[in-house]
Amino acid sequence: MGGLFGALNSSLDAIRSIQTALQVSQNNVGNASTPGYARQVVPMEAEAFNPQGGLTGGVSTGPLQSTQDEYVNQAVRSQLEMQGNASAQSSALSAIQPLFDVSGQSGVIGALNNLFQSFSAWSTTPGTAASQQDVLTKAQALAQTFQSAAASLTQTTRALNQKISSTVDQINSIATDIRKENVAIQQSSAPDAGLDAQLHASLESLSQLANVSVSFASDGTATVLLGGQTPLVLGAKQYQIQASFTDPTPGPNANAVNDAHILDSSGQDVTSQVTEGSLGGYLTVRNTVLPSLQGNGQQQGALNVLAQHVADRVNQILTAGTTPSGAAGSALFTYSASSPTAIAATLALDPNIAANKLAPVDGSSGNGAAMALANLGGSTAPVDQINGQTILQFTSALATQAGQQASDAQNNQDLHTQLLAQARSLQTQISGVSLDAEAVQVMELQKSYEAAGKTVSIINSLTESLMNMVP
Amino acid sequence: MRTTQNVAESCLAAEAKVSRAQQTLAEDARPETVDQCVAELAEVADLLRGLTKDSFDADAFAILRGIHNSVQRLSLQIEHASRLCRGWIQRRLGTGYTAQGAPVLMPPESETLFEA
Repeated sequence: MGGLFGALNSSLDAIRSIQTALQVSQNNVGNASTPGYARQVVPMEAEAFNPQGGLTGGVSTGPLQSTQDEYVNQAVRSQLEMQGNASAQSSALSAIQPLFDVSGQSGVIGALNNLFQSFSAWSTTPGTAASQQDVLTKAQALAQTFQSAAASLTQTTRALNQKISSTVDQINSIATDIRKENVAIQQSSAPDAGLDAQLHASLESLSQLANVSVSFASDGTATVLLGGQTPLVLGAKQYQIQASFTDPTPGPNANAVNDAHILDSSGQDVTSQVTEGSLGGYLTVRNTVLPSLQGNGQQQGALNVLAQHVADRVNQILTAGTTPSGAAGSALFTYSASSPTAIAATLALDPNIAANKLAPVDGSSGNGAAMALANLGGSTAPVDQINGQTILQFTSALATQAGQQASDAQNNQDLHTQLLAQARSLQTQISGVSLDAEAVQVMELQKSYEAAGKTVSIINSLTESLMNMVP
Repeated sequence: MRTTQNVAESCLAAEAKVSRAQQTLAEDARPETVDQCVAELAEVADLLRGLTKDSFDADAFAILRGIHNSVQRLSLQIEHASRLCRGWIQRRLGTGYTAQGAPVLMPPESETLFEA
């Protein structure tokens, strides 16, 4: 087909191609602020030109291509996962930190300090009713503080259980959306930018909640695996996960709080696969931080260890002594021994104790028992220590750890918020331009970042040197 | 001669520059903005080079500690961005590796896409 008709056909093809490109362009403009939308490009392909063979040249459009760049999309999703984790940990830990006020003004440390001070005052005037009564008042306050801390930890556990359950529900709900989007993509005869945008927006929402790996089939549908192993969505099929708060194999501690578990669609425990996203953050606090304080089936928890040790040592010293009138000493504290994880929650003043039953006298000196109690917090005698630390060292370490964990989570949240903004900015820069332009742009960026890295390294060294110089 | 008040003011200015660089790098990833951050950070380095231990009082030292913390975070930020760009380049343009382990990039190809 040569001559005039050939030339006309060639022009017609070119016009059709340009019309398609214009439609795509309008689509790009219209969807500029749609979440998950990436610009589309229309490849213009040169037609073969051979007039003798009837090939008239010109251009035609190739298949529509999305500029979704999975590499940068994955970078954004990774930051969303880490930010979700840090944010969840930060909010959960902020409820625990006040229980262990490192300043010693309130919380368990404050109450413990007050009791030791009352012992100290009593040791100097063991016979006065005021100092005896002060010991009882401070002991009562300490018991209540332990009970209150245990109740707060239980309440935090319940709140986290609810958050874990609702996060699992959200994950299942988003997985349902992804399954529907996959079905729509499979049924669509041509690439649909709107569907593509919806799918990517759903994947970003999911990444905030858990660490998922995403791969795309040749038909454009997404396969989503929780922790890289447990299927959530495979093409047109969804697999539900669920939260469980029952330990499959209970530990030796009776009536202890169970850990939280995530089960896959066949009931297998996949908790260890959930490491990031808000679900990962909640699970870390629920299954690691809280048990270290309140205990679980396997461990007693630092709060119970501390409560039991203080109560036992105070009682041992008092019951070994005698009152100024020569009567045998009485125990100051009582607690339920039914479970090692219930000590703090049940710690109370012994109902049989009274001010005149406090026993400051021991066998060696006049008020040796009261003196021993006054020095108990800092005593390095092995019998007074907890895991090689004095009672005050142990308590202080507990508070420092709680404060450090909360502080680290807050810092991580701030950092990942910034890194997420940066990944999104890079996503905007890299997605949506042609490959050659992208390559030049990204190479320039890479060089600039390298220069920035060198300068920051110099500043870091300079600040360190200056800080080391200043005493 | 620097007074401690001048030093504190300079440190505050340096802290502001570092903070601005953090924000800019997070929100506007373009070669020209990153280059501008490098220039501002170089000014911070020059300022710190001029300081000695005698320059510091408690206030200036506290600001210096703040700069140090911010710079460490900035370092993570830059490392993240640099790694992302390097990964993208290797993934999209890499054809293999040299014997020394450096990535070999494909030669630039002619423009084949029509930008719509």
